[in-house]
Amino acid sequence: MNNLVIGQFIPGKAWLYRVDPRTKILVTVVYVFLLIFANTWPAYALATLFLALTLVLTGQSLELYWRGIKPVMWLIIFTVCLQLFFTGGTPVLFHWQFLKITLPGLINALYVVLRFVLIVLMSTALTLTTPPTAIASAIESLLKPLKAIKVPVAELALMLSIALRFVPLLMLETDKVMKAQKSRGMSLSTGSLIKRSKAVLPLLIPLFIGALQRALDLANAMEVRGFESADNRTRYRVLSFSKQDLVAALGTGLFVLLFIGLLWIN
Amino acid sequence: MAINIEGLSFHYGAGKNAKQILDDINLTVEAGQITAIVGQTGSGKSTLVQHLNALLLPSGGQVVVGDQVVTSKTKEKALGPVRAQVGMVFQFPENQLFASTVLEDVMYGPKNFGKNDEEAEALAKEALIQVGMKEEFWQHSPFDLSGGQMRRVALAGVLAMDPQAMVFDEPAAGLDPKGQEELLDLLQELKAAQKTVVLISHQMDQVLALADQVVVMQDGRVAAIEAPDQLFLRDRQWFLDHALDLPEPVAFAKDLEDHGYHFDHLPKSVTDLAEQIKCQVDWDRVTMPNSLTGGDRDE
Amino acid sequence: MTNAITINNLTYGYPDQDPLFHDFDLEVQEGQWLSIVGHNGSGKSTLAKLILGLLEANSGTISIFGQQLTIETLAEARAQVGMVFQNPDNQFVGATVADDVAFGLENRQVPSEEMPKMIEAVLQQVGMADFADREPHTLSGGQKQRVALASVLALKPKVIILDEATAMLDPAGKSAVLQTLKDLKNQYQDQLTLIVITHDMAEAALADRVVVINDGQLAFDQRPQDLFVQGQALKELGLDQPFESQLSQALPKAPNQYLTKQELAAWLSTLKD
Repeated sequence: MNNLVIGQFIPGKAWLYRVDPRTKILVTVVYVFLLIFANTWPAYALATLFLALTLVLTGQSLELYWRGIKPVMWLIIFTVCLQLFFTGGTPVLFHWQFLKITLPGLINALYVVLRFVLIVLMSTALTLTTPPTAIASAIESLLKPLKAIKVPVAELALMLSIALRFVPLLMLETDKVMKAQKSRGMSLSTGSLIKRSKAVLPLLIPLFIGALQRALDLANAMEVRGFESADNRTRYRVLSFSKQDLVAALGTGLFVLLFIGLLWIN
Repeated sequence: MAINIEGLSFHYGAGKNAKQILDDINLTVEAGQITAIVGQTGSGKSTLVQHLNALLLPSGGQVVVGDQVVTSKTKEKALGPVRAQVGMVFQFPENQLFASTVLEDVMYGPKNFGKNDEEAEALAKEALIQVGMKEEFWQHSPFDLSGGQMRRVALAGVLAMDPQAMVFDEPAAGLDPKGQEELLDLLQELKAAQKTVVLISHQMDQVLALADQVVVMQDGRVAAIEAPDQLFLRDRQWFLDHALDLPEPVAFAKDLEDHGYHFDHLPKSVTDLAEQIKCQVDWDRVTMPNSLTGGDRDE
Repeated sequence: MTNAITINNLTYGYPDQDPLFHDFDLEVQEGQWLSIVGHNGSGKSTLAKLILGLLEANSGTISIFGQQLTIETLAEARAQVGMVFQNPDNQFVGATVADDVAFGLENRQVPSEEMPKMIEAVLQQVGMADFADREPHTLSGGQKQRVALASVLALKPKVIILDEATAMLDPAGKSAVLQTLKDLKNQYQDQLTLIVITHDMAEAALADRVVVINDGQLAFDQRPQDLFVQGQALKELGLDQPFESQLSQALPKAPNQYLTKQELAAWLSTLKD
């Protein structure tokens, strides 16, 4: 049913799965940040190489990543067209009516596509190899310093992981209520805008009430199992850095140095 | 109104990742009868019934509802009339209630299918009376009612559409014995009113007592279509293989058959079973021992 | 025998409604398997919530192993009493089976390194060890309820309350949960008190004692075999008589005591020669 690859976790045993989620998040952030500055072919070549290496370390098939890119294809084509037709400069390669394609436009468009694809694939590699719970605890761990300024990091992390756990359930529920109301003649595709927005209520109200009921039940279940506050708890999933993280850090460090070097030469 | 399912197949997704849920289903839901659909969880029952009112469109084959044909190419606009004719009661239907009063909620269906306010109100009131919701509750919020009452209101919401056929997915789940009994009475009333009824159930006693025809599903295919008196004559192993229970009177009769008892016809109820046992024992010779081995389990 | 739970003069009502319980008394002995039955709305689930302090009584006392339930003793009481709720989805806190079992342990501040072994052990007990990394939406209702049971077991409670825990399950899920309960009771014997709230008589039949609640009153308090022979009375309370009792009462002669299905069949087979 769910064909989206981006954001999905697929269990596996490849190298990248054993890297600490904090490392993976940091590497992804650094990578995306550096890409903003990429403006030469060698820089893109280096970034692509780094991505290729990462993808190999996920142990997943290339076909899977192709499926990940496909749904955002239209978005890519749209941005390409914008870049292609609305960047000025010379030389002009092609001219027809009000449309003209320039060399800087063409290069810009290619850069944008590359940047986009690289970012999407890198984040996919992150989510593909890291269970949502691990992402939640990694965020909690990375945000720990904010506790000093009274940010309830533990609560936020718990909320995040419970929210993640309920997403599939709410999707199933939406499908069910939608079908129940369709059976009673609900139609979201006819009538004026006001009529259409009113037509959503029979869908939204049961979902809201259902979610509220779940929240109350869940609160009871949590309380009965001894939950008092998010702070005074131990953790089942303990994050710990290992050899893989050192390797990943060194690899990324090397990449960063080379990348900056390339930008410098330019 | 009969519903014909012809060569129906259904899958999610496409290409290599497609997941086949239903495969070459052929069956007729007879007009004015109760058709039970049974099979273990995941056998495709729910997916199958969602084709009966075009909530799902077939990937292959067709579903003929009255005089309307639904195929993979049927346009969204053509589905309304199908849904007006086939009412669908999902499992735990109380989760679909939304309006601020009971009466309004029940009027939702008829109004969507083109009835004006007065007609819808008349239909809604009739349906509420049919499910035994007293008038004093009609202006209440459905969310102030008990679970059992909410279930009735949800049922009324589908009844009020006055469909020719009605599909019930585990309608008695979670109800107490009294609630279950009332629900089964309602199904029989519908049949008496010449409605076509489709019932998904795990409770074989209900199936035996109510159904005219039973469809057994397994792994997305039809494993058997038979009248219950025929179906439950099959041997025990067949039911084990299909992960189905036997109705209690039938299971008990099969036990006794191993000990020399003989049953002329399938016992449909406890009374029926008792009658058939009675005439096979010379009761004058039966003496009651004071204590029976294993009778008192604690000692 | 010590009392696991003692309820004295309990009065409770939802706001703006007639009291659900009025001067209600109940004692549950340690090691007992008690079924609480009653039709929907009879107050049986409310009783469970009162025992766990999820609702507060208007008056009267509830004691857990002699300790009266108050705000101060609540945490201690909950350490001894675990509960499995009706809806399998709404009590699954963790993102995976193992995480869900871990949730209670984390609250109790069990050291991280001790958790995996404890989780593995309780999942083994409920037959879900192979599912440790599964996410809840890939499990059946019966499997989720067994995980809920494991989550409770991990906290080593002396009392487990099941509040209509099988009501939303299919027959296969129901029998798997009941089999797990039987196994647990066999294993822990008198160390474990079970309180099973249900309206399913086959489930009630597993208990050593059945309490019928009607309009907030104890309508019956008997062994299941003594209760099941009272067909008419059960019907008036909106409950079913089990199949085997119905059958033996429909026969011209039958032992005037409760026989299980197997016992009844065995007896009938001696009559046929």
